[in-house]
Amino acid sequence: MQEKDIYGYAGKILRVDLTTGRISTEPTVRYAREWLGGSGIAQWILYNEIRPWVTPYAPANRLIIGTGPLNGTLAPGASRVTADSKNALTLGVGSSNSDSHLAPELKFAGYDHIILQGKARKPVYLWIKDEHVELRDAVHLWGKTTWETDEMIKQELNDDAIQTLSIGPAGENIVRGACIIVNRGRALGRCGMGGVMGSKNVKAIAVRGTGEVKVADPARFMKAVDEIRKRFEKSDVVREFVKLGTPKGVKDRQRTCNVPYKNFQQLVFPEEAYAKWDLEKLQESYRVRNIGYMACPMHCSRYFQIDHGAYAGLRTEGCQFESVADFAGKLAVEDPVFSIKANTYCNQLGLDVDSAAGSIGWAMECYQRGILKESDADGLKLEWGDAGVVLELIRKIAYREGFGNILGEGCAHAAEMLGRDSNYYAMNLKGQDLYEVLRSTIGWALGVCVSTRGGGHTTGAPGPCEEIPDLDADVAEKVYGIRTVAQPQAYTDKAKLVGYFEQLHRVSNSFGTCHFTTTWFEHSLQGFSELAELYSAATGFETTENDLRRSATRMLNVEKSFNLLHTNLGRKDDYPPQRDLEEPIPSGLVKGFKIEKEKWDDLLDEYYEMHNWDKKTGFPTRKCLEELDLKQVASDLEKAGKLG
Amino acid sequence: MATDKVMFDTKDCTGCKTCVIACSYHHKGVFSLASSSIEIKDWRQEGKFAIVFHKKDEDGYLACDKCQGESEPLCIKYCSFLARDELRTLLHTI
Repeated sequence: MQEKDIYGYAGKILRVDLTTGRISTEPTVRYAREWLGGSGIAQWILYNEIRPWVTPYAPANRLIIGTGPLNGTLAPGASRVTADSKNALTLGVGSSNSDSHLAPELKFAGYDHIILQGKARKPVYLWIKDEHVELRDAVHLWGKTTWETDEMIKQELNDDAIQTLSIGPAGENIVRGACIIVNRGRALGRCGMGGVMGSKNVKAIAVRGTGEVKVADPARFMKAVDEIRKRFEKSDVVREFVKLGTPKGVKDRQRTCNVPYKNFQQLVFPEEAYAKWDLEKLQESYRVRNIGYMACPMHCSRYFQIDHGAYAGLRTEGCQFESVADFAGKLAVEDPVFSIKANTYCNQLGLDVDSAAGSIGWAMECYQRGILKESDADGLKLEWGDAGVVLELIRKIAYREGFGNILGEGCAHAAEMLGRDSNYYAMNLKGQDLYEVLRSTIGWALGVCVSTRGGGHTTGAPGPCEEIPDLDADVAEKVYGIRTVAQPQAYTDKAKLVGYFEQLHRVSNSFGTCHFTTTWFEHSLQGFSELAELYSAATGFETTENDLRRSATRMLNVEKSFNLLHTNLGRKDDYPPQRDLEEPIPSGLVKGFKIEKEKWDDLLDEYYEMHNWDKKTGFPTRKCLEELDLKQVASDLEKAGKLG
Repeated sequence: MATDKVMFDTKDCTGCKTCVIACSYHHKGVFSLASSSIEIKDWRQEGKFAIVFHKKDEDGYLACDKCQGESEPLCIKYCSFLARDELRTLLHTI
């Protein structure tokens, strides 16, 4: 098939060798049928091109920006862009994902992916305008915040419709939890992609596309789009979500004991702190408008303008619930506006909010318990809820200054460096700081614990569906294949539920579709069959629900194998942190509930068995890999002594 | 002299640009930010979005024909329910 015949996809993958300056393209169709797009294609390229001894910051590592076959079309929620690379925190699979206009813009410019490899001799930024691709000097941008960079590039190129990806000081200083910011307010947050970009001396990528995306069967495609859109128009759950955005989670998480208060010591806000979260009133005071991205029917983002109080003058997009959990939850800063402020500050410096709050939360708990003293922390008193201290620590992390140099390694590595039995308080999975509360919701906890990228809830964790108290068991069975979905503390069939979402998330992460527009968020929204119909109509590659599920299972096995070849991760790393196994939930609706180690053992057995992986080690078996046509992967694992 | 394009400030627009690609689909059966009668001016650093309707073919943009042949203008059909009424009002004024 020629590039001109390709539908859905833009048709080309752009490869930029920063060491030599060579810029080339290759046809996307080489990967499209097997690996779908986005993260699926990127992870297969990483598997084949990075050897296990390559470190995240070595020039031989790749950073791959990815779009999917639905980006740039009217497919509901197709507004996500991905960044994949070797994970800076776990040294295994790295993948992050963000809403923005970047993905459609890149496709309109003619590219599905950008592969960055090598290292530039001095700071550069990549400028893409359709066929024109150029590495430009970025010495004058080095040291600037992401907001300044976005603005300066738009001025320099005299086009305010340009979409940018950039790193801030955190990425330049190779902070483990540095992220990539899209324009100003959206983050490719997890897995340390900002430091990888910084290690390559790439300050930014700027994109402008004036081309088009064609679909193979426009009438069939639009019919599928219209049928799915009707569901959004009818859903009360969607309307409520549009009204409050993800901060709606404050109410839901308080009810279900899912708030990581004071570094996960308590799982609800204390009454007086919770009382400050009157979401309707906060929106009335500060929200200027909702913000949405291309083809999104949810518009969950917001633009805030703070005109009074300590942060008067702040104008920004944001923040999502994650920042609330991080700053009001983990660090106990009670002023709701502070979550917006801290989120903004992290975005400007190019720092992942979960990582920043993860290591600061660990430090504050160590201080609470006398493990850390003022003298360890550059004279700072690490008191819970001290907004000034939190902002100062964020700054120190981004610039790797003093105590921030240790925190900038993420809580797991920081605890290793400090010793003093502080690792119990380092809430992480596989080395990456956690945002997710695990103790109260078993399916969610399993999905987070077995996630190949080290925690995170977008590669297998069941979402809000597990917390809906009135989800009918018959509906649950029809949609998700099990009846116990809405029983958060039940273990029964939760491995199967995670299996469903491991597949759905991978399909979405490959298509460029937001999880909030799928059955992850609400059972009536789009699932495999709807996504298969959109994909078939868009690309002309006739694809069934089962085809998609098989592709996703192949992706999972490739990721799992990457982790085994690059790290010593294994069954031991699929358990919740020690605190979650030892401490019952101290208060709230499910007070006293505790994850039982023996039950978790059984759950992991069931999960590995479902995947045809060895129960003792968690390694994929030859039979499993050969059934998935991954014979070479089986041989690679065998050579490494990691075949189950 | 009649103006060739008109720009309006918006209050409810979310800046998603879905209307822009819906419009390109009406004109050419493809999705594009360029082959459209609509531009969204994105000044998100100030929390503002403006909408521009092109009334004449120029610079790659195509003249708005109010979606002749469609049951309703596609920009309105695919707009968020948050901003649909505003868009309908603006489209009627051109």
